[in-house]
Amino acid sequence: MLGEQALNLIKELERNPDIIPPYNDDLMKRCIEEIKSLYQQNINSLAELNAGRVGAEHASLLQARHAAIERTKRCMLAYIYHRQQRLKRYRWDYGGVLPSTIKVCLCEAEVRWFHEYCKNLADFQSGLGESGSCGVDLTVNMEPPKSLFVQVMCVKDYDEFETSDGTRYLLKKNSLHSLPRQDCEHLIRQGILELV
Amino acid sequence: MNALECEFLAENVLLDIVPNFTDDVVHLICGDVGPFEASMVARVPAWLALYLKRRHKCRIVPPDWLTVNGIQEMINTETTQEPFSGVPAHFMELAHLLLRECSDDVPDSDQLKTLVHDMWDSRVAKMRTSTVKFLQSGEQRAELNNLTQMEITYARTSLRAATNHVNVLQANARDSR
Amino acid sequence: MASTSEDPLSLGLDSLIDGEADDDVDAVTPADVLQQLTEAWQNEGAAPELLPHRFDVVDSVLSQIEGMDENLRMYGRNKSLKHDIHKMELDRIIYLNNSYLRRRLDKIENSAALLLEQDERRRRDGLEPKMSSNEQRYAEKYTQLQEDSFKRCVLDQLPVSLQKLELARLAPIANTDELVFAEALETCHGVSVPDPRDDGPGFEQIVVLEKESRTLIPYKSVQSFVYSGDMRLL
Repeated sequence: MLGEQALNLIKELERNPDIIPPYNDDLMKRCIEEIKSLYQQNINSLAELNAGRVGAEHASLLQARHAAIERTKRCMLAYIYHRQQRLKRYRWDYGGVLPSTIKVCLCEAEVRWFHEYCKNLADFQSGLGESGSCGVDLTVNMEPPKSLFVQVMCVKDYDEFETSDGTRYLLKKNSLHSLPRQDCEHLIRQGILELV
Repeated sequence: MNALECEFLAENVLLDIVPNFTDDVVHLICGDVGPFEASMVARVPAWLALYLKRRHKCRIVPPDWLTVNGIQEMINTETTQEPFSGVPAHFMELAHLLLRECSDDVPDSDQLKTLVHDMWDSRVAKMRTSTVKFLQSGEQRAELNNLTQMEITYARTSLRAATNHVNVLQANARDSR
Repeated sequence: MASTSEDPLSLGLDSLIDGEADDDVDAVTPADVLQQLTEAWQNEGAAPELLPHRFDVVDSVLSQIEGMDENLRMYGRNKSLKHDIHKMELDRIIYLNNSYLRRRLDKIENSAALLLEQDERRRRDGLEPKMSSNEQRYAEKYTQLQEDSFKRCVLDQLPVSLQKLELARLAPIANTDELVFAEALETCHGVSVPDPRDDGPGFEQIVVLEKESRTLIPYKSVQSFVYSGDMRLL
């Protein structure tokens, strides 16, 4: 069926709504091939039409193929677009370094996109304020603040951690701490600390 | 806007506290607070009142309307008239915050929790009926002078979904004519 | 009145206002600026489209944050109650500011190419662009990144005549028909509301919205009043 390959790309994303599944290079290539093939068929049909070798009813075949081409192209772009949206969340939830478990699921263009996205965000942040050195970090203070300190438990060994007021903490697994909320937001999101 | 953000806004409302410490004026960006004198009433933004309460530095004086009689009267007015009754600004958020974080400073807090819940229920029920009426009428405008931020936030999501749905149905009806 | 020397953590409000012309009625206090930011934040959250930027307010708030942060660092070592109170307020202001900027970035990312086009048109019509220059740079770069990845992953491998891509046409258009909850900050005349009869396209009622009244109304009807600051969204 025309355009079925492309539909599978979208279904793949729908089946795994919360993660980024491995980049389906194979399916993408098949979609490209399908487009190329339909395109070539249309070129041939057009030539036949113009040469009067086939009847005018073939025009609707041309249209059907063109529609399939556009639809496949659209699905492919949507596939890239939605993966990008999920990838974006990583920057906001975990920071600018991609864990290797994620990286391995991305194609090279996606890895590049992520780095450039992070750089764009960093440039925007450093352009804020008149002096440009405000040190604004838009990925913190994501929720209205309720307190200055939070009680956390360290769930994974992390090593030494320095807070914004200069105090050093040794974050060993199962240790309990009262830390400035702002400083440990990222660690909480990364799953190293847990709120108690 | 979600519930946490509603609460954030409500925390700007001024409340009375009785501090157990003495300190001079604090020049905050939102305005001056203090000076503080132990056992003397001071007026501070709710976020500061709750912060001091958590650090056991004060007790909170509940607002006038947060009493059994006060809320009961509000419920009576609400249930005996069709339009939404006037309520104190951010009343639902503040009631929740105070009953949650300083119930020891609020007399009859258990009874109040139930009453506040009843008040919320009757207003939400009213909102449902008036939303249905509004959508059925096809009107594009409704006056809602007495709705609070919390209720607006609550209504927004379901209203958005409902009106989009209605718009689609109307558009389909137009197209099929 | 307590002088600033007693509270080294103050922003020197007194010293700013003391000696300031009493006839300077329009002096905007830090509290006013905070109020303006709160309103801008609420508006941006409730509006279905990107609103004209309020970077005048943001810049002012950022200097306040910077100043306060420095004060806290210098005097914070003794960890007084005052220090913590200031820090608490600072956290709230940073949250508000960050949230406002994030809301705008979200909208910008959703329709970057389209917004750039719209701002270009606004400039041509002699209107202020909605995005600040910093946001515009962000939108341009974001659009370019998106184009690049589409080209690399899909378009460059297709026959040339299929490589065309108009990002601005793909971007979702804000639904200005959406109903919003609006409050009139001033009495607003000439508010036009579409006709309730669904077979009456182009018919509209003109209404007056009294100051302090709250209405559920299509965003389109109040858009210009929100832009001018005569109405706010809830």
